Amino acid sequence: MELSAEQEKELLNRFNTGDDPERVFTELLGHFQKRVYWHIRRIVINHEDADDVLQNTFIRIWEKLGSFRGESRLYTWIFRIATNEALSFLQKKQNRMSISMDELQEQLGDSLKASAYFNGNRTELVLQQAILSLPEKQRLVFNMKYYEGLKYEEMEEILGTSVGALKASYHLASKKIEEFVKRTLNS
Amino acid sequence: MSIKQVKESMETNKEIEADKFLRSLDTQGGFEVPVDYFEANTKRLSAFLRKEGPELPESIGGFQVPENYFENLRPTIPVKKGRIVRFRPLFNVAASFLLIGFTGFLLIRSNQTGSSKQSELSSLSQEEIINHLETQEFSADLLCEAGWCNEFQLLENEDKELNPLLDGVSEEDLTELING
Repeated sequence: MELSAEQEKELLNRFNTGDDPERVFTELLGHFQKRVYWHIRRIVINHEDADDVLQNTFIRIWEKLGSFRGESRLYTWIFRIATNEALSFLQKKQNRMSISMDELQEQLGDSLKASAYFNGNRTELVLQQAILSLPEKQRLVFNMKYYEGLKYEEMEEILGTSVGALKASYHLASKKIEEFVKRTLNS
Repeated sequence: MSIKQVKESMETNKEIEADKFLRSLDTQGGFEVPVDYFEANTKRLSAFLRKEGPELPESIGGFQVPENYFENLRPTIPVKKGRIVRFRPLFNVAASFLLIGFTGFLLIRSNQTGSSKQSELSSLSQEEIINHLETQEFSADLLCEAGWCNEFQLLENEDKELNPLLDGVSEEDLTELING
């Protein structure tokens, strides 16, 4: 369930002044964890990895929530932390495997076929592989717009990229995916 | 319709056009999560926040521990409490040097003064004698009688030479200095 700006403030106030911050945080978890999980999952692809990143993300949020100044909406702040955690996770994985990010993304696309937590049909699989063929930033923008339905202004706050650049990225990403899917499904 | 609205409408049309093909795809299924994953995750994170910590398995990678090992785990090495010993400057040095001679003297003296005294002294442990030395002032007469007059005199002079250096230094600071 999405919280209004007022509800976010009220929740933050209770977290900072109440005598049971753990309970307020559990409430926050209930509001955000599904959306945050799917955001992370679309970046790291594997459920096990997404689970790890989700834990780290909420632990980080727990540690920093008290110092959150409310300069942006709470959910964009949370998404920013989740995005950073997920990208940093991928970066570490790439370094550990000593391969390029493109190679890693290709491997992630291949791993979907064998994944216990992916049951998409062939078209869905090809679509996901097409998304994974995009450069990291374009992939991020595409997922946030196409699947998560975020507004460009919200994405601007989360990613720190201008609305114009985000629109261009999304347009370019859509065209590349279209070409990839057509080429793969027709071959 | 204002120019701004026209512009926004054109932008929206562009967006729709951009992913029109993708939205028309016949996709089914997709990513999944284990059953009750989110409920379990809420419990797991809440437990972590309340400092309960996750339950650890009794066996990791083939290694095992006896039943209830962690529950019954107690430190087996007794922890010795630190003891602050308050020394008087150079007194401990004097005590170390004089201990052997003084003990010998006591034994010889006790031989001269009777067997009952000897048996009393011989029943004292070395620790008791050290304790005595640490807590009692030396009797100069007694030491001289034992033939340690010169040594005692030297020690007293050394003490006096050092005393000006130690003037103004608190006993706590000296203790800390000695204890390292």
